[in-house]
Amino acid sequence: MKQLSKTQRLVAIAVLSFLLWELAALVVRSNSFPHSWSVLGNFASLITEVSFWKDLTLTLWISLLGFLIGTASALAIGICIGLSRDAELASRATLNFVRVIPSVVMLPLLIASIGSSARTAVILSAFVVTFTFVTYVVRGIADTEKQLIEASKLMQLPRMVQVLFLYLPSTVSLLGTGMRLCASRAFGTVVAAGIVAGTPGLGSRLYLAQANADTNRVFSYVFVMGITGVLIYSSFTIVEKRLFKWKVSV
Amino acid sequence: MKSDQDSGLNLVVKNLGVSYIRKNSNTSVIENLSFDVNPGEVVAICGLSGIGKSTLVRTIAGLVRPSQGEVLIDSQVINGPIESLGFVTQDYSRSLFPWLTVEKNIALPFKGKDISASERKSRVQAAIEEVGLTESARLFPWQLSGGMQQRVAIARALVMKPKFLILDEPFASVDVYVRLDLEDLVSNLVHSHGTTTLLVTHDVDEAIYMADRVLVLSGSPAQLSLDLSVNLKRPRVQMQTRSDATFLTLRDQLHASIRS
Amino acid sequence: MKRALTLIVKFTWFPILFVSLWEVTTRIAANPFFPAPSKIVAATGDVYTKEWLSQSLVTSLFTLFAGYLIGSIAGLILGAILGSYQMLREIFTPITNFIRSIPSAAKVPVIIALFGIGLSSRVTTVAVAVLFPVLLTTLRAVANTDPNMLDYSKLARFGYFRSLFQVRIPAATGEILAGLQASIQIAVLVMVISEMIGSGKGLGAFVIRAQSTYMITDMWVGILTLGIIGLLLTEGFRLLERKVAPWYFTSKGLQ
Ligand SMILES: Nc1ncnc2c1ncn2[C@@H]1O[C@H](COP(=O)(O)OP(=O)(O)OP(=O)(O)O)[C@@H](O)[C@H]1O
Ligand SMILES: [Mg+2]
Repeated sequence: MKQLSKTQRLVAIAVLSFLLWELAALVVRSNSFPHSWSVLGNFASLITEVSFWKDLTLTLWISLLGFLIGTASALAIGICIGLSRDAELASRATLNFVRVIPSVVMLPLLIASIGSSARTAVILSAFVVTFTFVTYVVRGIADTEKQLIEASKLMQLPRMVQVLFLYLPSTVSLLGTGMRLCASRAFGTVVAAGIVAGTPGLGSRLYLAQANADTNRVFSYVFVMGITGVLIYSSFTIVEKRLFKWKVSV
Repeated sequence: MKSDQDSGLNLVVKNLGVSYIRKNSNTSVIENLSFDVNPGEVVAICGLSGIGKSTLVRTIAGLVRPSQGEVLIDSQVINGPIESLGFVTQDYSRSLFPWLTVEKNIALPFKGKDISASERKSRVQAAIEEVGLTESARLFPWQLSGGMQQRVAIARALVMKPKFLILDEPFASVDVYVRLDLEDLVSNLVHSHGTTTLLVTHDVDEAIYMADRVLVLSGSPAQLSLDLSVNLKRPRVQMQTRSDATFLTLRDQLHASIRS
Repeated sequence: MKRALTLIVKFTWFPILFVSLWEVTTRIAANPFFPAPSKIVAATGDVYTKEWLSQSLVTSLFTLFAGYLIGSIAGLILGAILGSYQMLREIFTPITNFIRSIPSAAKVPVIIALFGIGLSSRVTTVAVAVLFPVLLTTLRAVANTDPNMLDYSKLARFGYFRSLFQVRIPAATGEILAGLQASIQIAVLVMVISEMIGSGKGLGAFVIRAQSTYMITDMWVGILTLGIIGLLLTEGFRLLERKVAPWYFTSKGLQ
């Protein structure tokens, strides 16, 4: 099979996306399925609106906060659990259960008890990130190189030093996938909270556009979210490469 | 004992038995093994692969619990790693902390110990110099060659001035020239400090060249099948010592014993 | 026997302690939003026998299974095809990746805007949300077949389908299964959201309605039911994958 050059590839992607889109519009035959050009026009006008940028930034801040709180608490909890086999066994059932509860069903509870402000979204995304990430942390600790554990025992390192110099760096270096996933989840959860509970940000804007049957807008927002999602994902890949240089050449 | 200061610790292994639990059944790897090592002595342990050499030294280091008998270092029963012990393994690449530089790896054993910062610094510096890594102190382990990494592991084991040193096939993964250099390096270091040393190796020549005494393990469960004194004068010189007539007879004796 | 017993104790003491603590604190605090677990359990029978929850449950489960099956089968087939041709792969990976990067929750309003809030629309939402992650993992897994194995299948003169079914797909089993498992959670999430906004049907709607009418205990019953559904599906999937792909688990020594 012949190789495509970079430009050929880009052109092919663009043409194909266009064709698929218009094909979908044709197949769906719903008069609400907008043409690709009308969505592009709508998108162009959207990105000139100041309030849109404000809400995008707000969504990102909320996600970041949820992500940071979530990963930090997951690290603390995960290290405590991961260092003791008994604690790991004891908490496994509970963690598995909480993890599979779809996060959004907590929303009614949160709305009822604290309302639907930005805080609600922060709490929910921190919650989701904590329970997703904890499993990665526990697994990361379990995967700590046996030889290094032995070496630190032989050096008679105190427990605290072992945690700081062995378990923490080793675990963090194994957490790339988990962090990427959690960053996407934090963003996704904030969007979901906006859609379901009307917490401020892009999610509630998307919901409103849908409620107003403004399909062009709906697609524009989804487009924005897709780009954001890709950016979050790839920025984590870059950070990971920089932070964990040593893994590259092992 | 060839040391000027006789600071090594003595080792007593008494009726030692070690077994592993595998799928609910007990496999005995070592049974009823006894021997002594005098302060400052360098003792090599040889035997076929899988015979239980690593198991033995890991038990002596306190990493594995014996199922019978006991290990005494300096008349203390061992039931966990002790501070005056240094340990270097074959798998150097996996026993160095990849996120710490050479210098920090070597300084790691000081963490949590009551030693002043200036003392730490000078001892790390000295250890780095001893193994000839001054140029590479700020590099990460993965930026070094295999032989250099192994020297970091040796320096890390020596920086605490251990009175007892265990080397488990320390040169198995380096090429033969580096290997000869490292053999001399370690020999000189342990002799100048009078460190009691156990060296596990499957290389008979290396055992004779470095040790004052060679122990051979054989059978399953493993038993001591030979305890051979090496009466070669020191300092030894690689090519010269290796072609010595005594060396050659010892070598034949050992080969015969290991195969039997 | 004794070992098994201690293991059971080690597994269960924490959940038991947790629930007891929960019971005690909720009874002391008497916060209206946090009823005691015993009250929730007591209410469960009542809520379940009310026709609407059993109906909600059936509707939700149907949405979930139908959507998941359609989405994952389509994802597997498309992924296997696109993954085995380099040119198609190069073009479709970025497109798929982009669609997958849109938060699953955001796909719900799109489908509602296009198809309304009916049952078929909800099934479509779940199917779409599951399709892209499955497609992408399958595509990647099939594309990354060990070159040695591919050489072997070329030397053995395997045709396209033979090589796909006997070499590429079995070799990719691990990743494909992981992708399928991760999609279960996505499916449940999307199902709940699509029921919560607008439809008035299913467990998601039930929970929202309970909240807005201050039937807090009922709301908790709904939340826990959804949790149990998620747990049963995930565990069920684990049992099933051992049956469907035994070679993967034996070769990994994971049995
Ligand atoms: N952690 C373990 N669990 C169960 N069995 C083990 C374990 N470690 C070693 N063994 C078994 O004990 C026996 C001796 O192993 P050991 O590693 O001590 O051999 P060795 O003499 O050091 O071999 P080599 O020269 O290959 O390093 C082997 O049969 C091995 O299978
Ligand atoms: Mg060994």
